Amino acid sequence: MIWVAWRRHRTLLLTLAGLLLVLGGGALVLRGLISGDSARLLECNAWPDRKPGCSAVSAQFHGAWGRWPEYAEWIILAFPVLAGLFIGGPLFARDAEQGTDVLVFTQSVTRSHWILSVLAVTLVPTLLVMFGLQWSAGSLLSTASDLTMGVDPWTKIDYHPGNLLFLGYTVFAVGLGAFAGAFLRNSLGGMAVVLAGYFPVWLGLGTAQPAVGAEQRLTYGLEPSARPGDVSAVATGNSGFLNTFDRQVDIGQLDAVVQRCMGKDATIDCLRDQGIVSRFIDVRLVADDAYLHLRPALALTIVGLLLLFGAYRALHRRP
Amino acid sequence: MIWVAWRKQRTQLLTLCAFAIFGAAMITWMRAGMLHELHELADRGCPVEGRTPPGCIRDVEDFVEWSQAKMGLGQTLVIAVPALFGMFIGAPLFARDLEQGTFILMITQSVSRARWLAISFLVALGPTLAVTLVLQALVGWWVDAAGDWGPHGRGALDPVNFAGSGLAPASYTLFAVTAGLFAGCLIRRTTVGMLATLGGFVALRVVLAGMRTGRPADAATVHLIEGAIFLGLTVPLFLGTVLVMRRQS
Repeated sequence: MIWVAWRRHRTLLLTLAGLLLVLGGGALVLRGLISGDSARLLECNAWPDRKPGCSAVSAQFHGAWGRWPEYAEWIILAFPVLAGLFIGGPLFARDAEQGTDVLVFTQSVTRSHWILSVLAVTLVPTLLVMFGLQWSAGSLLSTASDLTMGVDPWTKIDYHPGNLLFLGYTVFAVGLGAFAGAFLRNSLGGMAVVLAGYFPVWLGLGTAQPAVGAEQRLTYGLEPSARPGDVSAVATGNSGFLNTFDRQVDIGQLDAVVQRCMGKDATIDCLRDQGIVSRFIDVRLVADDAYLHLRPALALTIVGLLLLFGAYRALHRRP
Repeated sequence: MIWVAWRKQRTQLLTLCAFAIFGAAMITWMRAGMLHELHELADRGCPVEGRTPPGCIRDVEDFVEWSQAKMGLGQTLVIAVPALFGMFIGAPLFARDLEQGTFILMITQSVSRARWLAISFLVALGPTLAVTLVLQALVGWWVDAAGDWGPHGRGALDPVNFAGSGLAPASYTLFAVTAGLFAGCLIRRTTVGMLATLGGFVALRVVLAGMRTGRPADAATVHLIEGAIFLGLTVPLFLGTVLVMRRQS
């Protein structure tokens, strides 16, 4: 039965494998290229000896690679709804539409056995591909976030492989498509229902940005080696320098001081003499990021499984 | 003939009509909400035009973040509809008949295949283009109301601003529907035709977006060039569809 299901869905499964190879592999290759190209930028921007002409190097780097993280994000976001449209919608509807369900229902295998085989052959590979894409595109986004390539600071958590939310979205979208297709007995109708039903849910949940603990300020010295340890945290986007009263130094004042100190042998001592004593970064600590999206992911998975059960019931009642 | 084409496509066209009414109502409602916010800001001494007073910076930042997120949804809708129309209207137009064998009925009538194809295509394309233009106009009306605090502040060549304004939505729709028609006829399978339409359209958009250069002042020229590329591709796709349909037996 599994073999029959595989034969019937082999185009879909080969397409999924191709997608994973091209998009997932492409994301990993791109991550390697970006990491390699970033060495010159990081060296140029090294604190405190930022070299002149760094703006041009930075612009060149962002011009060359700036758009790719956005595309990686779109791939992860689009995959669940595409799975719902092209896998869920026609899953049972195509047989009903073309009348081939009669052939299925008159075999010696039970309907339950047939439905479960079809789900095992289609849903499991779909989820594996979603996970693979999230892992590869997520690693590209993580690199982009480390290089501050204009990626949202939450990116690392949102697309972390431990985030089960996108798997939940995939189960939900495929379940919705399978149910609507089986109920309406029409592939296009099932696909249209996926579009109409998925986006309100997606807009409602978003990527479910979690509250990951209160905001904290990590302070560290001016020396290049004085970086905060490898804490599991998300930057809120606020960082800078502190004066002797532990107050944030105004950007205009900072520019003036840096101009005065630039080119001197002891740049850091000069900065201290001018009243700038430490650096800071505001973060939200992440203690248990694997569980951040667990609740919405579980809710979506349960709803998706219920919809698949609904499709099962609709197929069972068919004469 | 037009009546037959309408009868065959009435579900899609009525769904399209409902979608347009719902979209228009949502945009009008969200625009009204944004105007209310703007009036409240003006009452607090933070006008939308001119230099932002120092005491208003926080309020304005909140407003910009909120309104741009909402307007981003409207712009995304305008950007997404050409692909959706290509998938749901262009691709199944003849692919479904070819898949289910009902095209035999079509090719054994007294009207020529070319006439049948042209009229069906026009009946599908007319409302599709009209809905695209109406949604584009409504979203543009909404975005204009926010002035420089809205997406206009990002410049005319910003990928989202560009794809949602000028010639872009209409030329994308024309191309996507024709590409769907061609893919459906060539592959003779609705779902695969839809997938091919989506893949081809997105790939072309990504390639052209990567090649887009110039200053915001050149946006009109870039619109003309990109529009010409999409229209230039539409013609051979349509002729290809005619050729494929003529060879069907």
